[in-house]
Amino acid sequence: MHVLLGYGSITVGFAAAVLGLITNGYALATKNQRAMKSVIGYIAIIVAAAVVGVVVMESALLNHDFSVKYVAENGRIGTPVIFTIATLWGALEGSILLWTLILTGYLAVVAWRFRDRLNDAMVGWAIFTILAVTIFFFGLMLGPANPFIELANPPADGPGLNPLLQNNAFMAFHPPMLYLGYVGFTVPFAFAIGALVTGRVGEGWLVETRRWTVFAWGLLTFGIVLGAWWSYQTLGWGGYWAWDPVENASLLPWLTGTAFIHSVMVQERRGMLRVWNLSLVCATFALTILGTFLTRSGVIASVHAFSESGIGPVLIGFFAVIVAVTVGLIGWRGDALRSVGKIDSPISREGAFLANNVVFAAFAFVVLLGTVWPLIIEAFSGDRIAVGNPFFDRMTLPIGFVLLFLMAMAPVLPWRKASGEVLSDRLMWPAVVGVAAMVFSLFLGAAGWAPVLAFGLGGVAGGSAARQLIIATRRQGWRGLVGRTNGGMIVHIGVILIAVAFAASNAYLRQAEFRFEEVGDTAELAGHTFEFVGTDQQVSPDGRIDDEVLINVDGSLERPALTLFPFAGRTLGSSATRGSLIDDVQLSVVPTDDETVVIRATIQPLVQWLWIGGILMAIGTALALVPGKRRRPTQAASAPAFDDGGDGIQPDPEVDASSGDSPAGAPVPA
Amino acid sequence: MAGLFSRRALVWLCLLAVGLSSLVVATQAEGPPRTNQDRVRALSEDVACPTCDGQSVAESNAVIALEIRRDIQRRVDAGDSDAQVTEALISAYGESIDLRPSSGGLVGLVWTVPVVLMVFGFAALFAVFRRWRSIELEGASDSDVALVEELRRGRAT
Repeated sequence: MHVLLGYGSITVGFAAAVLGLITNGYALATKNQRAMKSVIGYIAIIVAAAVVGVVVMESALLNHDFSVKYVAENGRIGTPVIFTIATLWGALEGSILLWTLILTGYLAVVAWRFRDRLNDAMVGWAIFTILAVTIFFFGLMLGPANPFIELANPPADGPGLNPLLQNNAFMAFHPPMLYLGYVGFTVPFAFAIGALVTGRVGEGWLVETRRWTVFAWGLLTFGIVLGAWWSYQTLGWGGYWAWDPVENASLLPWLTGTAFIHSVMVQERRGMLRVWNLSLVCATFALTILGTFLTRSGVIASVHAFSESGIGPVLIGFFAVIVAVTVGLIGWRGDALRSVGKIDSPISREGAFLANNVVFAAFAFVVLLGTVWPLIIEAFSGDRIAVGNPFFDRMTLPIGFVLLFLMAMAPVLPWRKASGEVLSDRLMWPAVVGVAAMVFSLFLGAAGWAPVLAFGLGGVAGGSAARQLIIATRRQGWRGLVGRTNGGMIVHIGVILIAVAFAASNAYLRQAEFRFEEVGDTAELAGHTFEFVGTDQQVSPDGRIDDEVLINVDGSLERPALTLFPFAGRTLGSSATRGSLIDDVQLSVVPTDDETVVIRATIQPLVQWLWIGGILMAIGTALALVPGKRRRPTQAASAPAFDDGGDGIQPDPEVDASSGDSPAGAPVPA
Repeated sequence: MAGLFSRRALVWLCLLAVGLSSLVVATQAEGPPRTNQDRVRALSEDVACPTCDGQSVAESNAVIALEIRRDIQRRVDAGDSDAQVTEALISAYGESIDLRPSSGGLVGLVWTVPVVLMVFGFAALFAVFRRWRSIELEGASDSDVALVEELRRGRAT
């Protein structure tokens, strides 16, 4: 029943998407408004089909219908309901189903949002592009990633979700968040294609998709931070970011997306970087597909696993098509894309954005290269090599410093050109904050140039961001916290907190193992005391057994455990974390062969600030989406040099952060 | 004015001096003593778990990763140097366990290519700025200038 309904809905969705695409193409070719209207009908069917598909899969999971292969391979009677629901995105086929649902959701919102402008060719081509992507994903589910395969002899029970994914309820939210971000980049991509096809490669498509891009970026950011939090809680070795291929796959589109939301401002403002922005948006979308390929095709384990999975060649083929189409279109529109104008000085806001883009592009390249290098080497020479932490740490350290430096400078730089005097004036207080941060950290016992430099640059960058916010709120009250520039500065502060926490927690990590033989044994590490209190056993209703060790950490009881999942035949550590704003103490039980208890204690300063920074980034992104006071298109972008007798005279602080205390272009009365 | 400027310069010089000396102090400062466990952790981060996709021994909970961690622990406790430990692990599990790509040959390109590209990127940026500097407002013909002037007068009244 589930199989029939589920596969049926996917078939309907696929068919509706194909028919919708054909109708859409016909409407675009003949400028037939009626046909374009009917595309909306197809979109309604597509969305309904995706919703039905997901509902059917959830019903199959919750009712333990093991005649559905996906349920038989990933479900289990007795798994808590929240994890049963989350099983939808616990394996490949279900993830593709969720991806499709989100994609059709975006499609519907785009169609609704632009319902009055369906005859605009750019909107038409954007919907055409999203429909084409939708066809691909429905097609995946009809073929190599079919979630609704029927089993002739259904088993009585399944193995259940990977225990590692069942240890923490946050697992339920991290992937959907990530997908909302990932898939959201389809919208700016679609409008970029629309702009290229129609030849309207000016700033129009950027303005249309500005909020969509920031929205997707914010969700991707939050998804990545949630993932880090999850691995910190679950793995229990004090780590939260390991540069593994799955993490890298989520970071890659984030890096190009971040570059894009910065360089967009140069194009809006100066009409430059058209090719670059189009390329970035297309690269971001292409990287979401490439990331899915890398993590889902098994290619990371070995080049040769690639051809065994049905989905690998299809995904890489789709990636190739995206690259070919965008490169072809950009080449075709080459003439129209040539931008006029120039940037006056490298020491300017737009100069900083250019440098930002070079650095982010390099960052993305390093991550991509490190991730695929073992594949390339294996393909060429047959040698198996590994590229891991040491490579990424060493290569991204200087990049991180340059980015912190740019974050310190850019917010105080005016557009066009900065004089030394302006810089010295605006950077003074941020620099004081930075130097104070360095000295303060030394008093607290910081050692090593790298973390201390990170604290210093972080201080300057924080000061620059705070300066903008202070000026804006002084002028506009609470409105000084919303809009792109101000929300962006709050995001910056979040990033700085993460950078500082990252530097401190990596540089000053302390770890030790303690062997406890009798109740009452104590140990000490980095000013924290540990007392062995006893052991305990808890059995959860879903059958897992927690063998807990009771440890008194600085006077409060913690219960790290070894958790046995009898149904999966696996034992995992469940760590206990006692966190404060100063440092985190994480305890995990080390399995031993004898009766003694071995506890691994990891102490890391400032870890909590990673999550605070992540929340601040999310808040900042949300505030950036609130419409601030916008400059009207007719209003001059830079401070007017003459009085037009009206309301256009004051440079708008929301639009131009640098105008806070009027650089070169102070409002001059006529 | 000149006095004001020099005072500001003085503040900058002070900030620079304090900042730089902080860095020097930080470089000289000794952190807390490293426990053997700190070394084990650092070493296990550089070693790949042979059965996991792309995870290091430090973060994996696989059986083999646990074993390798214990192995590292034994060697560190026995007084082996970091290089000795890594060498022993490579000879036991093969080259592919080393998460640090070697710096020579084809493999070593992974280190050099990004650096070369980044240098190239900034060089290109530099070249573009030089070109931009040489372009003055050419392309604005007399009639353009006249048009702008006319519009300005129109708006000002």
